[in-house]
Amino acid sequence: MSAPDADLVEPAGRPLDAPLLSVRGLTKRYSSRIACRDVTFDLWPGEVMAVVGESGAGKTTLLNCVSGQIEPSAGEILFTRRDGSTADLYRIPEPERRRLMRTDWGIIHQNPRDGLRFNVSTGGNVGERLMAIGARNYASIRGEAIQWLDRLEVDTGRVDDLPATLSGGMQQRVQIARNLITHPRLVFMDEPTGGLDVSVQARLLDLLRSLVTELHLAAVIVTHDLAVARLLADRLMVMRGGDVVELGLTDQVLDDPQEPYTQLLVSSVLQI
Amino acid sequence: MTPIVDIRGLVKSFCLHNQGGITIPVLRGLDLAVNAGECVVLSGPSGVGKSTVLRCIYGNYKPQAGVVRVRHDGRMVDVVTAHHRLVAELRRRTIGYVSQFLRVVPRVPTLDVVAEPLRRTGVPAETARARAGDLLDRLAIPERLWQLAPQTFSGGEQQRVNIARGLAVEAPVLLLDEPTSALDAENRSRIAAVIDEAKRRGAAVIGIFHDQDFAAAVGTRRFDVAALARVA
Repeated sequence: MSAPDADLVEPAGRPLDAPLLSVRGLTKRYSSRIACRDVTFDLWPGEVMAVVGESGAGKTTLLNCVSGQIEPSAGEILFTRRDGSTADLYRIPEPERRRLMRTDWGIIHQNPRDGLRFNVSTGGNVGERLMAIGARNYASIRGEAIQWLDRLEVDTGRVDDLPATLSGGMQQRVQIARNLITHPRLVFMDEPTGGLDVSVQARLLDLLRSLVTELHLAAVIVTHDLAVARLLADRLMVMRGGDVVELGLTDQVLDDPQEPYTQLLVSSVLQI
Repeated sequence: MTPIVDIRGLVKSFCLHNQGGITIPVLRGLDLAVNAGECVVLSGPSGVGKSTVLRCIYGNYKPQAGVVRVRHDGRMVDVVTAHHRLVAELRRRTIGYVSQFLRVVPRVPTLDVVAEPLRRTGVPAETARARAGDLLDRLAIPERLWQLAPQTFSGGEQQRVNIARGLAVEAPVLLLDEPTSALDAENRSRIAAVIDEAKRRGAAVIGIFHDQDFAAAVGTRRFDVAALARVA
């Protein structure tokens, strides 16, 4: 059998296209304590990365730094703008960072109370980001909000109701609609299905999965649930005590974990 | 003839860090080349590393040494060293993998479970569903079940849904890990028919089949993992 033609062999390790997000040497210190240390990773358009680890591993700190909510102590976060140029998140002017956060990014909190305004109607919550980027036509904002509520399978008859009158699962959908209305390219989620009943969680997982595919969204999802990570994420980052222990294709990390801690984590999950 | 899958010197062991750090050697320098239209049956006793070979090709096991080349868009890609984006692309379009158990988001209708891999290659929803329905029909999953989630199905039904999902994209490489273990004779022959069809369109098929008659019926060649994997 002849060997494959040498020049037909793909050069090892070359990515197909440029990443959307590059995190380099990110460290966050709180006085003497280090919450996350020297974290480096790339995220490509349409790619979902899950960050797993036990409480205190630094997952949420990492998410907050990368999503522009907490300034890191060291390192850089490079984001590719829609025109292809690169923005260094904490070195660009504050107004630009805020604009990116309102348009190109979505942030979905575990608790809908952190991501929604409870004294504003459901429709108002969804339409708010459009107004923040300059939309002024009330009817068209409301129309778009209704479209997004419908897409997230929220009863559009509830558009004028306050979020508190909705169930937890529905509030979470409203929060997602609120983020997606500006067509972000990158979404950060902190335990998006964390506080929900298992039955509601399954439906929301499916919805998230199809949205990510259809909208070609990149996402960073913090979770402690390895099953959620397996179903949603292309890649998996394992953290412990602020350090990245392992990073790879989700099924490779779960099926053939290389590091002692990852092996322990994977083997500790109850089989159902 | 250039093979579709070309494995050279594959070495895979597992180090169990939390169990005294013992290392279990599984594959010690395996060579295997598979051409278009072939169906290679991996044989050998349980635990010899048959599934390990498939998982190294699919990229969810990390070998210690060797190359695993797969033809993708007219060139050979080494799964072991390829960038993860390229591995993802290989899985999307070039390698179909049917695992032993169906693992999907709960409460999703069967038709969408089968259509999903096609959707991920950019096929429109309706076309993907039509192809999914066609496959389910051929594997004798009655239409009244299509809108139900497969988690409630029998083992044999789930297995056929899993095969339909693995075959939805007509991938040039097909990896089958005991796809027929829970099936009766009639359903096994349905699976044999779709595997034969894949061979005819030029797919390279590598499979593990416990049923000897089934293996003899679909296989074009037997590859003894036990004999060849342990050559020092």
